[in-house]
Amino acid sequence: MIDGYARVLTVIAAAGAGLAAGFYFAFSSVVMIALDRLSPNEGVKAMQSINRAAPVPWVITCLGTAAVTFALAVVAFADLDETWAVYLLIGAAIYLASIVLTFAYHVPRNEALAALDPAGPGATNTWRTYLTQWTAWNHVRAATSLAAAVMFILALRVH
Amino acid sequence: VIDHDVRSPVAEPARSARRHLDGDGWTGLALVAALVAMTLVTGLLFTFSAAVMPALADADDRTFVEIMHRFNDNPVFQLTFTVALVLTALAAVLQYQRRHSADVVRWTVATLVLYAIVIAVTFAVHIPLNNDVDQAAEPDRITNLANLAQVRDDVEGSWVAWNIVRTVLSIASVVALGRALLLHGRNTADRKAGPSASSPAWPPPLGKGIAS
Repeated sequence: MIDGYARVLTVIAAAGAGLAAGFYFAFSSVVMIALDRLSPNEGVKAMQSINRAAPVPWVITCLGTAAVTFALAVVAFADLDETWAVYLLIGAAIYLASIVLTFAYHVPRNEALAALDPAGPGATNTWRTYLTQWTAWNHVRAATSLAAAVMFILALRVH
Repeated sequence: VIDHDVRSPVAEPARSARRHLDGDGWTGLALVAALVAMTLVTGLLFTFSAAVMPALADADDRTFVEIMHRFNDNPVFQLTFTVALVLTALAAVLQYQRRHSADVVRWTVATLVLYAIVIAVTFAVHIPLNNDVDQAAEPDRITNLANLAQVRDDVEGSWVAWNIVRTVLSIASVVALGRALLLHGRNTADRKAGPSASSPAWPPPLGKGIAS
């Protein structure tokens, strides 16, 4: 069983990864569906606005959790003959993959969208492509964060 | 196959509550599932508090009403809220039936109370406001700019403020449920270390094959 500060960190990581999963889940299941039904012009403007508001809460929850997760990965790596350490390491790897995905995929596309003129030529096509592909990869972020949360919770429960 | 109905006799009063634990696998599973669902609900509410509603503050009245109307059109909110409620209630019932130690039950019930307030706020504040938005989004009204401005004015402030309340209460639910799960895990570990250990290894010991 995980003891001491690692136990506290694991609880924080579990809640943080679950919260991150909920964050992505909100976009996958509610927000993007709503934007899809707006006119492209309105949709682009709304998403641009969301992308201006979202980074601060994202950094606090998702990136904050990533820091905790990284520390846990180090703890787990040092104690790999323990069952919980394997759960922790798998959870950390899955969670950090969602962060890498964000920086590699979502951030560049958000920056491209920020530069898009909603009324300009080709804006509709760019928006349609963004909407479909961004959302598809957002499902992946939601699923990986959720899986990581489950691994952290299980890590607390193995003996 | 595990016989969940076997209860070992209790000798030491101090450990009596713990020795009454049976069928931990199912209670633990219900708690884990409830916690996952509860963090999803919390993340959903948090996203609206921290990212979506601040972004909508910039939108014009018509876009505001249209987007809010689209959000309401979506059954995901109700579905996730209900799943979290059912799983938490299930965990509480299983604990009660299997006479779990009082501390685990107490934190699970605390979760239910906090979450009940989240749902009460939703019914008292958000659903009526959402109905106002849905009416304003009707095809014959959506072009009435004065009406849109009026509805937005009535809805936005309360919706946003009470959503922050829901978010905070929901975070508190996660904390309480996490506490219940931790205590439950600790009790299970104590019991397994004792002479009456009989539970299956769940979660399975993944590490054995990898580490050795």
